[in-house]
Amino acid sequence: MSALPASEVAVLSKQKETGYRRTQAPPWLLPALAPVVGLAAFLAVWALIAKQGGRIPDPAAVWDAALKIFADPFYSKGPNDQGIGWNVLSSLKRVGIGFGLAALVGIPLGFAIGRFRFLSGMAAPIIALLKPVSPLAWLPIGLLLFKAANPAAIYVIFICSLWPMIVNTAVGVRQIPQDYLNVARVLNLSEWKVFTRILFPAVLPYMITGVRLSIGVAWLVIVAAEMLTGGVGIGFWVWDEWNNLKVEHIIIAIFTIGIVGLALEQGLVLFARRFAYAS
Amino acid sequence: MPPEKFLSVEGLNMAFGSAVVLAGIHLAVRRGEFVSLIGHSGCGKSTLLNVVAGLLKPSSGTVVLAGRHVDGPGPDRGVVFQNHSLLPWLTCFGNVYLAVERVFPDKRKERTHAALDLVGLSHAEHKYPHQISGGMKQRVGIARALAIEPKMLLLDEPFGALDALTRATLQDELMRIVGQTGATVLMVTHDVDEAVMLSDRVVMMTNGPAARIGEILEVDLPRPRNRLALAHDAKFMELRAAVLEFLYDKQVRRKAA
Repeated sequence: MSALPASEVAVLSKQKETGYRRTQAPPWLLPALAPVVGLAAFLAVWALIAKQGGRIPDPAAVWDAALKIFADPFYSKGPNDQGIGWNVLSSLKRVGIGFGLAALVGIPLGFAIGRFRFLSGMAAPIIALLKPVSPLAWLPIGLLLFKAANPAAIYVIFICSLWPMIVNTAVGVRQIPQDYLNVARVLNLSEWKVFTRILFPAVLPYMITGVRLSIGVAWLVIVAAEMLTGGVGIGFWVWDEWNNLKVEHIIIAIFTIGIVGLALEQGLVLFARRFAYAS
Repeated sequence: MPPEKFLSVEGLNMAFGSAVVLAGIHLAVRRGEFVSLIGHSGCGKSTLLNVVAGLLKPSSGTVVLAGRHVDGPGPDRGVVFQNHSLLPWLTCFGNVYLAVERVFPDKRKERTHAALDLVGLSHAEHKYPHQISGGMKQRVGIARALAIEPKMLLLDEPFGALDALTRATLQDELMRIVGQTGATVLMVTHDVDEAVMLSDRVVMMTNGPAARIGEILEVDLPRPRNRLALAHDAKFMELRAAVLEFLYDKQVRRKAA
């Protein structure tokens, strides 16, 4: 006993305390196990609800249906019957266009509002009034303006992505420490240098936060907008399958929407990390 | 321009709204002179420096540097801020280069390397500000100010945020650099030892509001100065006592009265 290293002595004394040998789990195991347990519990609750009868299919039935759907995601039998891949891609395309236009307008506008107090005062009541409005309320206006479903859906995405981008960029500009601007002033840097070397890098993390919020909202809204406008798209697909009473497909759509949304968000988090700076 | 008036501050008043900060400041600095501004906090010494830097416009009065009227900030004055003010998304090299490329059309990289070498930071050129210590950050700040070869160096409590040992090292470095470059310096400080050890003259300011220059102390200690030798130097002690007396006797009593 006298020659034992300290660590083993500690183990032995622990054994004596508890009376039985505890095998220590590796430290990564528990954190890795938690989501698995969570998902299993989720599936169990779902299966239980499905067992009560009614129209909710159980997880196995949905899995079977999913295997069939994802076996050929890119088929096309006319405009109203296309694979889930095409539906997701057309939704992503609408989000991409609406979101891109919102960035083109919102980020410069955010810079201007953050930089000039008067513009900020001008914009504040409008933004405060319109930001809490559900983006779908804009859909009739879009239909009226564009007289077609597709641009109206893009327009709704544009509107809902716009506010977070303006607000976050403006906050970022206002948060720039005076010290950095003093550096620009004592060196008498040109407006272009001030923008590229000081304003833009200082605001970038805020801008990316705005972009992340926007894309989250845009992905939420596109599903609802497509339900109303029709055409090809994941939202329309959900509605179509509801009319066909294929509840398995609706559940598949819910998971697909969730996974795509998660991927968009995570992609932007990685992107943001690339441009974060430690002060 | 008379040589004793390389920098000339005349009849300077500064008020923010109804609060008068500086009243009737007259100050002349010779070329190559090191002048410290010392006073209790809130006495407006930093305000005076910011006026010379051109960051603040005086309510009245003039500032003339090397025969030219100061009417705003410019690269003829190198400013070192208390909190280093390095841009966190640029490396040490990038921070100094930003200043160099503003001023010089050629040999920008060489000049940047030389400035960083002067403050002993060649080895940390490619590090970002968050990767280096507070003392090193302030050295980069000094390199950035010196790299543009300004007519005058303005230091706003440059070592105030550093620990005592680092501060002493940087003071010695600054003395060496100023000796090497012959820079004209105006430094704001609240550290009596620092003021006496580094300066040719110590300008003591009265308490605000409406602060003015109370006394000016000539520091006729020979250069180069050595920290350890000065610690036992009777003349240094005497000068130091004079500043302390001004700050803690005359000014505190005036405040109490």
